[in-house]
Amino acid sequence: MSRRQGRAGLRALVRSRRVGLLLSLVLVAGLASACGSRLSGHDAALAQGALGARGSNAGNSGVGTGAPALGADSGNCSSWGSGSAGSSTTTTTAAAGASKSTTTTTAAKASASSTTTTTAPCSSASLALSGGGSAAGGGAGGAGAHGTTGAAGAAAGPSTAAAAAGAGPCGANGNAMPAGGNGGATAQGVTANTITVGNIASISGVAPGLTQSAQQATQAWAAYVNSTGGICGRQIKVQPFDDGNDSGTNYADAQQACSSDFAMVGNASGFDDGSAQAVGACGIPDMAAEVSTAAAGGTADIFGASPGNDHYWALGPANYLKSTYGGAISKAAMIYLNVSATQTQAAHEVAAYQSVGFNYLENISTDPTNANYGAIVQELQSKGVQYVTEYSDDNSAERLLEAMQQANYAPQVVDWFSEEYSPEFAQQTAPESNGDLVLMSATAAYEEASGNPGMQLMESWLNRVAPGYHHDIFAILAWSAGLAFEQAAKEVGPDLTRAALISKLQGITNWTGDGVTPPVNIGQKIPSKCFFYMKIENGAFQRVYPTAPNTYDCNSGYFQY
Amino acid sequence: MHEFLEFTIIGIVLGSAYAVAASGLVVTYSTSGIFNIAHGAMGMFMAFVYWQLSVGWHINTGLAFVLTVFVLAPLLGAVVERTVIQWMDPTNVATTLAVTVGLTLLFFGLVNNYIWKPTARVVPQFFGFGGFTFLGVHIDWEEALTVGAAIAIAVGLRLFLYRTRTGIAMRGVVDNRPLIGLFGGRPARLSTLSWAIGSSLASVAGILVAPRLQLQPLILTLLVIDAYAAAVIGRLRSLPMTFLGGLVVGLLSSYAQGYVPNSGGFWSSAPVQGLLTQSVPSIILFVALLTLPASRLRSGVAQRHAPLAPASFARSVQGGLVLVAAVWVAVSFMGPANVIKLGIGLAFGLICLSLVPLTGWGGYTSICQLTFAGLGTFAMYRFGGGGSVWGLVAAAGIAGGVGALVALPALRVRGLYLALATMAFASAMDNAFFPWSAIFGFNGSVAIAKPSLFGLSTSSPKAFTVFLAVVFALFSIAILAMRRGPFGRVLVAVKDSEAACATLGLSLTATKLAVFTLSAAMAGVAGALFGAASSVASGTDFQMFESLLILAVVAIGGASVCSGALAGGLALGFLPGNAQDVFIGAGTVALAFYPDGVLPLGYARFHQWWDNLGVRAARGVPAARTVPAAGTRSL
Repeated sequence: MSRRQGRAGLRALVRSRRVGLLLSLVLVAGLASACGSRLSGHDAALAQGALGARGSNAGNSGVGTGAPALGADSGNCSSWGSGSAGSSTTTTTAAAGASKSTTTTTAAKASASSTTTTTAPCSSASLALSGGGSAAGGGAGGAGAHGTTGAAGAAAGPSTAAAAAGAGPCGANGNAMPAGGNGGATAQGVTANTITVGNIASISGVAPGLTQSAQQATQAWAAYVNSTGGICGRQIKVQPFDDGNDSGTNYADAQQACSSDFAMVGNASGFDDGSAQAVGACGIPDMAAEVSTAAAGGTADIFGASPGNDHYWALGPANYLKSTYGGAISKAAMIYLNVSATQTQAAHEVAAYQSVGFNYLENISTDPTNANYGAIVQELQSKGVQYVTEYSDDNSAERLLEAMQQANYAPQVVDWFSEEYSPEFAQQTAPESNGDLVLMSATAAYEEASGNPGMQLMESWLNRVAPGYHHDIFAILAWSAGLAFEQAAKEVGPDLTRAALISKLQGITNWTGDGVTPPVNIGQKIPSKCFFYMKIENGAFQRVYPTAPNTYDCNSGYFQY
Repeated sequence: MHEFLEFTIIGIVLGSAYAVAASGLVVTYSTSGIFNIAHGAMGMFMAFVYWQLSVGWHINTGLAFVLTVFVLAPLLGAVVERTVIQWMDPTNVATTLAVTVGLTLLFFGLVNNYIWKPTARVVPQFFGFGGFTFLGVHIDWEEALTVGAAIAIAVGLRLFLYRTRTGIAMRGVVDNRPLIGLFGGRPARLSTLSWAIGSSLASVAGILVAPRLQLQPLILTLLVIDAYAAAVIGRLRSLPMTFLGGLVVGLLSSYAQGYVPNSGGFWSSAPVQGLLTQSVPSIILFVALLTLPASRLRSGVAQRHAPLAPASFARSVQGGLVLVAAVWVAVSFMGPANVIKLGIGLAFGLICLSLVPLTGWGGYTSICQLTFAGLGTFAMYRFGGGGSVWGLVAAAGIAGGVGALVALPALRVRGLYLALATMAFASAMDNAFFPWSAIFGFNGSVAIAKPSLFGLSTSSPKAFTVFLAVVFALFSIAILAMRRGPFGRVLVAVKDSEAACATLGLSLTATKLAVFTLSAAMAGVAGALFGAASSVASGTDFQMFESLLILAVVAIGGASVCSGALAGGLALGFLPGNAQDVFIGAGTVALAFYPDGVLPLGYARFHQWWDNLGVRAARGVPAARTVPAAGTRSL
């Protein structure tokens, strides 16, 4: 049933299918995935230092990928430079004096050049993730390794594409068919010429098109990889599924993928508790865009570009708000929809933020279909609340904003999260939303793509495969998931098996997907602790902190519970 | 005091919106005898049309409003009445409800999946955020407009229906349609006019609330359900009482939002918050239904079609064996995804099957079968660990027990009011029970084990799907046996004429209680198996709106035959999500022309053809027409 559910990505995002529910639920489920950005993260790999390279693109393409270079001590900021035609050079200087690393990547054909330096607000930063060299040439790009693989303990280090991709039997970029063949059908869904991967998104049902962009991004990634020659001579073939915002269908789709596909890539659904059952039983690797439900987060073979983890809560945003709006956080209010995903997120955030000094005067639950925020706003006003945040879908957020405007209530801080990072929300809430903050902790920003080669590459391929795609975080996360799969598969080499791929995915501990996401520990399933803040002004998003484009604040650690 | 005034004004505005929506319902019902479940969906549809005109095509707001409310909306209502409603028998409550449910699904599906691209839309307020201050409380012009519109509509409709010849004739149509015709009236035109007015009022309600809710198809569609309480307070006839009912619902909802504590362990718990803040309209609806005067016994129901005779034991066993064999063969050739979809379809079929004795034979409409199924799933999760058969037993017991509890207070109402009572119960459960972390966990979903019976494991999807076919066959054989027995005959007799049965000393109360309990228990077991087929379950799987879908597919297939339930379940299992609403909605709307459903019609036609064939063969001449339906047997 299409609406059964509903409700969920939003469960994760939406977990409610109709119902007043449903649509709102679905939207709520959407929250879950978006919430991933607030969830977590881990800093271990960053603090430990060094990370491997993001591969280069010596291949047959016009895209160069720089290598992430990493300073030595606790990293607190990351940035990546823009690419341009020419050779790709990434330079990172650790302000803390720990290290300096330089990565040089040369593109074989189009050759791209990029230079990355850390910037002002990150003056203490010792980490810079060079997104380096990917110059979205709009054409076939070199494939190299895209993320960073954990190399715990290394203080710093130059890294090269070859270090990640390896100059193995499939060539320096892992694209080529080995001289003696690639072994043919080494696993379910693998032939000498193809690797079939499944992709489950929530397209129909109560919230049509909810995570369709994730499927489009996965197809765009496959087209991109195929243009570079594939993986060890095998082309990527995507088998698309639509779970209709329904756990049962999600389960059925995953079962089908178990029997016909090698792996699943770029999944995005608030109903991934269904696929969790199937994956747990059959052992198919699942490199998802986002992990929404606790069931999926607890399944060994499910990884995510936005991992699900209920034990870590990044404290960076709280510390930033405390230092910037010290007076407001003592008069805070949390509003959340009374559906499971948002209840969980709100409870965790309140506990985490209280640990750094937030004082919540109000902790209010409301129904997804509540059209009357007047009573809530009046309560906030009467208590003198100066910091307001809400875990909800963007429709509920719009209603809250309207009620605030009607009551002429303007708290010092209104803090939204990634669910509200959509052009529609910004445009439709203008001018009430002017000055509102939007926390970004799962992905980079579309607005800054001009300085982010990884985003440029993604957008160039998405514009080819799915013109007019929706600019949301699911597309970015799915693209990142595809790159992670690609890197792991190339590291496995020609003898591709599910167990070997899972082993390699477990080894990806500091991943940025060519700079489209903040550093995230895919292997250990710990979300990023890095963040930046945008604000809404006249229907558009503008960066607030750190001020330099494409940088994150990674200074703070986690609240653990 | 300021706070109280604020909540009061919010409540009045909200209540006014309810009153406008409920007024349309009352006008339609009091002049056509048909309760339009699709009232909200029609309002939602017209709100989208208004948005398209005013925002999408930049037509002047006032002109767009006039076009929508006074031209397009009445046209829509008239078209619906002329093409669908006029063919229906108002005394057949189950079918009329099903058809309007179909209209709901059809409009929802068209808007949500086909006509307008799904994205957030904002309907601008007529006067922006400007307004005035009254007793220190800021009031938007928009809010004042809503209240004013409600008052004007209530007064205007009252004058129209009681002071004009056309209005009086419209009310007369529902009481005695032929008599109006004899006195020179045109019942068909009057009925069309009432639906045009109802549609226009629905569009007003949709346009007034859209700026606050955004254009969300589901939310706008369901909003009107809250207005049902206001309409029932007006007994579906009195416009002044309906207006008052709207204010009562709005004010109590607003006060509940404002004054029910939302902190503290007890007060912040999901059941308490769900009941006391979100379920206020449902509670008012339930209470209003219970305080209605007891329904008068119907003296008889005109039936256009004689009921099908139940299949014999041998025929039902044959049918069961065919089903199991067919499923066995099918799973051998199907891929994993389709095997699971087949299993989910069979589980839905079992839920649909629970409506066969209740609706198909008893004539009682339930809009809470998925709620009972959810209780069964919960029981399976709690007591069926490792696939224990006790989970199924608990599912039957808990769902059956709750079904009896629901039926008890609802015994004194029947027909439409009974359906609305089950809807109120389902809505309250949606808000208070299923979101509770104690039910399906704090994260909202749980894994449901596949049952293991007598040492036979059904853990593989294929084995479980075949097992579901066996269960469906056994349930069908059992209820068909019941249908042939004394209880089944009483059930059908009560449906035919409650008055006659009461005269004969049959207990209507006991019959209703028994069939409700049986149906709920069946739905509970089906829910347990549905959870196992889906592998995971959450409270959102069992929302009231989904029960409408169940009711619709059963009606399409034929509520009086087990095979109709099977067909409906398989449709739910296999139809793509984005096509379900439109296809099922369209199929249900077509019930206006085949009220017994597709399969009973097919069986009747087949037997007619078969009998004619036999007659021709025996006589060697073309057969005369026979009356086939009453003697026709079906599965």
